[in-house]
Amino acid sequence: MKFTRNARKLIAAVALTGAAIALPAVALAAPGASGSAGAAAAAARCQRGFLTSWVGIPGGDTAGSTYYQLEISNVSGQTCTLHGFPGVSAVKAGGGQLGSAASRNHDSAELTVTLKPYQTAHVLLQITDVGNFPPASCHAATAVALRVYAPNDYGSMLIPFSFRACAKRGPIYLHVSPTIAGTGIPGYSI
Amino acid sequence: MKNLTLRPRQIALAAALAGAAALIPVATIAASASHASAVPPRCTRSQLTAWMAMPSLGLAALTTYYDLEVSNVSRHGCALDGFPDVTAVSDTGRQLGSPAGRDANNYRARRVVIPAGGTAHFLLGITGDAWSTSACRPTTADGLRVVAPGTRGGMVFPYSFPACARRGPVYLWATPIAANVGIPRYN
Repeated sequence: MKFTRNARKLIAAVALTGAAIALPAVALAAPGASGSAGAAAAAARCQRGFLTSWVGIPGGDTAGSTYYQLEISNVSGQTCTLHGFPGVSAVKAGGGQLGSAASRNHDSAELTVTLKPYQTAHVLLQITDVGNFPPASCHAATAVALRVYAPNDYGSMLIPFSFRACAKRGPIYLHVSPTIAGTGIPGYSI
Repeated sequence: MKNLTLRPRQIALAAALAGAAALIPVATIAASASHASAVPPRCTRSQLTAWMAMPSLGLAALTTYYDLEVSNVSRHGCALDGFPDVTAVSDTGRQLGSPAGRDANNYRARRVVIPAGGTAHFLLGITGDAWSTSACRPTTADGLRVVAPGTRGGMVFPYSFPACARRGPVYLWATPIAANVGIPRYN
């Protein structure tokens, strides 16, 4: 498979997003705030039951890594918010985790993303070619799915997706961006 | 959750005929009135990216349904018309078993214009019952190839799932391309 087309666009999209001004949204997004006191009630945090998630192809190849867009859509009838990094890990057949979970790429600002019903946000996922790691420290294996936790959520979503992973914890071969507003369509990401 | 029941051919034919009949006057009017406005050309593969959602269990036993989306990443609107070709493939890209059957129960095949940056969708059902038949010769697919209508080559989702190596049993079912995103209840 060739995944070369969108690499430049993906990187451009990320760069643009990363250039966005870091608004003081972090301070506003008090974890656990019920929203009962403000002028406008704060939307609840998006949880698994509110969400569906997507993986886009083709990925974008760069030296040693492939970039994919993951989308998270609000399929509930209520507005909810996402703030910060999703949890992402590789899943082997049978459901167990392979190796270490994704690290956080802080190049983009962490902003609160408000999802009205049926709106979509996205994150950028970088999968490092595990052939770059010493075999003894990686124990390469094939993942069958991505496990995605919405930011600050404890319920996960499984997206079917096969790729080479490390079975052994230690090597960091997955990297995620914070949640970004808008769909993950290359060239059209907000 | 959509009910993607596998429908008799007669119903599909009737629906297709009805759809064609209903479209005739519109097409005639459009043809006579739209010389000035550009008609979006058919989408090419290089204009598209594809999305696959986490699965949802179907109402029918042993069938898993997936929403798939096709987004137009180009700067120009383009059109897709009809069914995607969906096949299971091996790690070398070889087709495994029969291609997806066509299911128009929920959506009628029609021309869908995808604006620049826009998205269309279809549903894919993967049935497990064909897998247990002797005609199947069970194997494991390494990918799901999706060829948008009228395009060539397609895109392969790296997805491992039970497939048939032998042609005959139909274990994949696809709806026609429909407008808008594939978010349940939204479209």
